Amino acid sequence: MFLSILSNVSSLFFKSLLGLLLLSFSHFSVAGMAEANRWIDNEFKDSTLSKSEQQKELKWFIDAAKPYQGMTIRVVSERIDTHWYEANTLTKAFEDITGIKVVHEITGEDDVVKKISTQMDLDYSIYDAYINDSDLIGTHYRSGKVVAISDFIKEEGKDVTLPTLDLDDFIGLSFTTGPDGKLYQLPDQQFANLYWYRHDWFSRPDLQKQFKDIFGYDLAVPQNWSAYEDIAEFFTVHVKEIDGVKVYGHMDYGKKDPSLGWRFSDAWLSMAGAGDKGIPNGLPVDEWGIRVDGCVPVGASVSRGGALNGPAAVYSIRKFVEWLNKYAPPNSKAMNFSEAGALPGKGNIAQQIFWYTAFTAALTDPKLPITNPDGTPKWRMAPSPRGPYWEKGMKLGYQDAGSWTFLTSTPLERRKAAWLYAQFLVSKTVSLQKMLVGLTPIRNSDINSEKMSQVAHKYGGLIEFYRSSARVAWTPTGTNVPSYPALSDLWWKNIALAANDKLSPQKAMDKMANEMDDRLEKISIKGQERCAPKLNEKKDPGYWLAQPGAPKAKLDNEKPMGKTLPHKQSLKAWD
Amino acid sequence: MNFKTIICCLCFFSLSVQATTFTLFTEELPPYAMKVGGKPAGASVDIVSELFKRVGLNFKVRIVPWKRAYLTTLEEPNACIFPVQRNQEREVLFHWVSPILITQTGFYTNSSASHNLRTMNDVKGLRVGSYKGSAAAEYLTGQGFKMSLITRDAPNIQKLQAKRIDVWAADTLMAGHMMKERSVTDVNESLIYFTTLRALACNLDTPIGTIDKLSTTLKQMYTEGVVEKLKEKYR
Repeated sequence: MFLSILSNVSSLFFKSLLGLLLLSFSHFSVAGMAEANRWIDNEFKDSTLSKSEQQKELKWFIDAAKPYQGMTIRVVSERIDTHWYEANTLTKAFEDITGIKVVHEITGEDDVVKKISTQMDLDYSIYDAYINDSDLIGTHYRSGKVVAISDFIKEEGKDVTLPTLDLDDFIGLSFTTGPDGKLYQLPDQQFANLYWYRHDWFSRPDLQKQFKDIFGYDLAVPQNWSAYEDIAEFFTVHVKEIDGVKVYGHMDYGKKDPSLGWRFSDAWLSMAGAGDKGIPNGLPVDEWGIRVDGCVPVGASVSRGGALNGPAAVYSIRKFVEWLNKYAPPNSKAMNFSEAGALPGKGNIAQQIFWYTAFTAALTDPKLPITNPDGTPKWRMAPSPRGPYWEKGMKLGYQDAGSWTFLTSTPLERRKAAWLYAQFLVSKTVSLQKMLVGLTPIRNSDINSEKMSQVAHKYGGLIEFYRSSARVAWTPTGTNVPSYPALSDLWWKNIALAANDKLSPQKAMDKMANEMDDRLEKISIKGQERCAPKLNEKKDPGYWLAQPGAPKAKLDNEKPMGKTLPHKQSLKAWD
Repeated sequence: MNFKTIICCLCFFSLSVQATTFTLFTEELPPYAMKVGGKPAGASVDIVSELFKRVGLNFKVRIVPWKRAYLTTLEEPNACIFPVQRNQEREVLFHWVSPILITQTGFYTNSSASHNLRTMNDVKGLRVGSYKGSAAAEYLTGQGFKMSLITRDAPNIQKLQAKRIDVWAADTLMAGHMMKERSVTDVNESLIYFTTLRALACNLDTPIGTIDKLSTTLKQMYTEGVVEKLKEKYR
């Protein structure tokens, strides 16, 4: 018995000792090339770099990280597959290779915005870095609280900047560059908002014939909102049922909830054609309807030269409400983003004009009724149709660019360690594998890689979209918006009034435009480091509507003939 | 209306604003909120009390069950609740003063266990304990974790010691307080996995001017290091 106790005690003692040793040495003390090779062989087999190039890149990380070994840094990002992969797998790889521990927190984007705003507002360090949507570029640029990465990599961050970072290879740098030409954020993942439809249904000869008999043109990918509307009516009103199941030609959501805001701030107005020409965002009037003079926002209402309550914006809201009422499933008005997002996967939605490609992986689950037994999708995605006010040279849709953002309130050493982690996550050693997991590309080299050609057929047009010229017309919120956190709630609070028939689209947008002007004024009074708003004097709206560009005068015909193209051609139509 | 009447009206208005007493609801949540000598005390009680004093608003703090506090604040003017996690669902229901507290949630393990928790994924498949209604339970359930939930948090320490759960998910300040009170030495903090901003949420009838004043003063309290100092007392 005694021996047994002794044996247990000694076993416990040795286990504890071993545990302690393992804890002490398991990570950073063994960080190095052996660990790097293990990760290259097991996780990062798919890379646009050769194995020896990967080894060289990771050797650089090992050496650069030495001063920071043993440090724990904390970062936060929104909740999508790519970031879960980073949080659960890439943090381990980074710690094993460099000895720097990372806690990568995952939460909703609204919470990320609240947290970064809080740190900026209080100058109180909460995180060492944020992966924050580039929609805040106008905020960051004006705040004076965000580190300009293009300066940092030449100055205090020079010794921790990856020689093979290859900034020119990134597809989204124009989204994260301020009006001063400086880079304020580095994209970590990108996804677009595209048109989604049931390719299998659209390919059925009986449905093709029925559509052509009614509307006089082919059932295919809609190129304009007229065709989208016709197809919505076709499935909801004329087809009604497929294989005994009630089907709908449109899906959307309308609940008064902050998620209703993204549905509009994510470029709905530019899809209709509100705003001016200009890539990545319209100038002088962008898709939020905000006019700038140089870099100074001067108003959102038409009376101040903006386009938020102009005919194109009002048209876009009218169509949103009309389609939601007439063609979407009856309960969709009471749904929020998350509730509505699951519906296309259930198999009774024919098309959706506003669909985030971040859901690509989720909708290729072989268990879903919209996926073939071999895992290929029955659906396709394509560039979204454009509204009647849209003109060549304008942005069309939205692209989300979750981007690394560093604040001046983060102590320099912690910021440098976090910058190493950020670069690891976008390095060429890692980025192709990350794209395969999350389907959120950031590098040209990955998009055009042989590997992506091999797997493109699985993703319903995603890779083709990113390889096409269409990509450049899908962009995030730009620099005209001086404070995303201070303005963005106006979208859901006001659109909900139109969506739920409390106000007409015109009245809801008039109210919103006035409130947006008031908020711009408030931001101006509070002051910004640079390019703070300064409102134009009010003028008769007719003055601005008579000027070239946005705000655009009402079109006599807002419903031209519907136009469609076969899927392959729709992807090439932008080339 | 003559000048004197205007002055009288203004005085009355000013007096009626001054006379308004806010009821600040919270729940028993040591060391954030608890009764000491029959009076409300704790880190968040101290922070909120200091805030209202600085703004010059009359207030009383009441410790009641959370559900009652939440519903009363929704329905009654001059009522606020704290500390509340601000989220999308709640955003429309209140006016917000944030952050009253920045808290963290961690995973705790039995020191004799061999779990090596490096990321949240490492907890998948393990028995995770928390208490019903906690932010930890809400977050982890939302991420698809299977949770073992009980009505009070403290018994999770015994459950962890008896290995009836593998991991205890808890607020770090609360866990530290509970373990200190019970002289627990065989439970380790393994991974702090989430940071939460907690706010003061006020009834929607609260004037925006009052909310703005509270927010500006709270910012000053952070800048002056007052919030950190008040919180430090309870570590």
